[in-house]
Amino acid sequence: MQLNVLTDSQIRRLHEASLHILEKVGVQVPHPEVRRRFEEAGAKVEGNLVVIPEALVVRSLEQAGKSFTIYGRDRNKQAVFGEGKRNYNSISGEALWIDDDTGQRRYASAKDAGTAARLVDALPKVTIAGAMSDPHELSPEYGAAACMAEMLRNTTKPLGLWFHNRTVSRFMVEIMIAVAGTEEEAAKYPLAYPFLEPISPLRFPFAGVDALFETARLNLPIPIGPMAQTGLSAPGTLAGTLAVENAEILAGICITQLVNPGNAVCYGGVCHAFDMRTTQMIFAGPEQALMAVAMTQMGKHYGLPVYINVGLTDSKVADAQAGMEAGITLVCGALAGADIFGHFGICGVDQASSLDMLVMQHELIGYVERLMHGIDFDEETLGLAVIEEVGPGGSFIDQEHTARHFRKELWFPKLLDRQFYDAWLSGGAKTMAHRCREEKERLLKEHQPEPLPEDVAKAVAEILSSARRELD
Amino acid sequence: MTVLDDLKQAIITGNREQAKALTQQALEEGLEARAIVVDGIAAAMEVVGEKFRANEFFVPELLIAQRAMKEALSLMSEAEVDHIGTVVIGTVKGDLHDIGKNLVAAMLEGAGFKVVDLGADVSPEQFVAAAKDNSAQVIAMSALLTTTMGSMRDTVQAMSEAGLNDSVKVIVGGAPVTQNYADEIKAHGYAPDAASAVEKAKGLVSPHGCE
Repeated sequence: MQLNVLTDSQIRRLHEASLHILEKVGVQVPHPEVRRRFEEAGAKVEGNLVVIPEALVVRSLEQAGKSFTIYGRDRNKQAVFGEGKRNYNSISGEALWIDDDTGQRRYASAKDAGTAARLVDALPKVTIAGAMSDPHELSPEYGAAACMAEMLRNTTKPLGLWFHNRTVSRFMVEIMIAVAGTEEEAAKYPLAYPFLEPISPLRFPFAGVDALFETARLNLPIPIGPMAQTGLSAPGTLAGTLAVENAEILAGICITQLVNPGNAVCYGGVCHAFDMRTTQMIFAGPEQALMAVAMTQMGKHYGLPVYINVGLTDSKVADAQAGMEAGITLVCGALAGADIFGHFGICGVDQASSLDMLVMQHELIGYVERLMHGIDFDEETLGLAVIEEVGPGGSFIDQEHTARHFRKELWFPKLLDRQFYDAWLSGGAKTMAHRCREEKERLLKEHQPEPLPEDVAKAVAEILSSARRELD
Repeated sequence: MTVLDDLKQAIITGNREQAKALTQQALEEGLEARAIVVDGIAAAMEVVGEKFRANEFFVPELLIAQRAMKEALSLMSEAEVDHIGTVVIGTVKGDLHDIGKNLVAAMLEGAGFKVVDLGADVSPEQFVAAAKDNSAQVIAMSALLTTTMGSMRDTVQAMSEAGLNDSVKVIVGGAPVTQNYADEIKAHGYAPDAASAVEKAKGLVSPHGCE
């Protein structure tokens, strides 16, 4: 199964268009050392502006690592990129948090990052645990390291979190070394990756670029994901948005290769549409499905692993809108063949973190994974023998052939309602949102993550207190 | 592992051939028929029932286990097989939809009932006659169509006229049937699905009554 929305000639034309943007318009890079390296590599630099020639883009694309794996502190917990696997992550951070007790939004805390990590630890299909929280009570720099420590206590999976700047990245790298045992092991089994986010249109943030000099120490892979918005930070057309988004990603790949040649990257095609009535970004309209598939085609064209924003919703609760938007976009993205999908657990358009939503999306992932498995087709599954045996008017339900196959053929949802009406009614006539809430509460009550080994916990605590002295 | 343990396992996994062969072996080894039934066959079905209630087993697994059980019981004399009651079952007059009814019949049989299956398009008179002839405790009726479910009311009426109301209980089910409808036509029970039909029938034949 394969879904495409661009023809081969459209893919080539988009590539040319992006090269045109990089050569005629250029990108702003407010980082002197990176600009110096750009110039050395043949780019034209004027002030902050860097005009990138085609040759440098081609060279960077060739040089970049095209597959990588990140590992949890349990190294059996892996997210594999560039090998046709599908990975799912919860959101790396949000300013706000939907409070369970009140149902209201409040600012997120480091403790919330621990709760989010613990929930993902209990959700088998979410492969990377995101912090889901930007701790409000701490400085942004120290908060990043504090989140990492909090999450390590609560999950054995790979981590997704922001590397705020170069200084805190140094401490985060130290924490990763403490977890892995040695620097060599930490580089061999990366626990997390930094995220380079160009600021559309055609700009790069200093701190995000600067942090790469620190994460290069462990060769941490780098996803590059600008969020160009149709009609706001990109042209008001999907094709134009794709051209700008692609140009920004290509420029980002050049930066990663100038900082650390050969560094593995992930093509983050996470552009979005923009709502002209409310002036809010649109997370999951039909345009999102189209652009996510198109971006996946572009990334695959470059031979890179791809991540896209699908499976999301503009809805604030796990309701019909959420199911519709998350379901349709995730199916399209999965059929396009991307490597990673997310980020999950967001309430609306980055308006808060919602664990209920994450639980709903986890159910959706199960649904989509069954869909992606396709139809097992052979003589045994075709079942001519059992059809002959049962004959007209008979039943297949008591046949051994049925008993042998139904568990493999059918997906068994945890939260979707398939009950007889009376059973549904007597069970409290619960909606999906209600069932998601209950499942979340059950998992958080019951799930105990494997504890962090004592010596590692001690080492992490020491790194954290030096980070606190310097950053908070 | 004794032969009875093996027999239990064969029934739980729905292996018909093995269930039969092991029952034969047990008889040849001189085990009492009663012990084979109670400690082998019935004990296996107890496990199957538990697994079904715990959502570990689903309907196909339950049914293949029951088929294995029937293979094993076929080697026993009638005297060794205790039925927990007799159910006359059928799809009502005018209705030919029997898939759901067949499922209920199979599950009732698996649960230890003697099942007299009258098939589809069964008239009130046929239900009454069969209940009398077989000294049934339960009549179970199924309908898929709203246009045929009225026949359930006629059957209850016919039972009353035949004086069966005290000795025979009626359970009804099928897509258009609800508890309200069952109450309205004075049926003794309503079951929304096959598994609850079995529970309902068990309740109706137990000396303590249903619910």
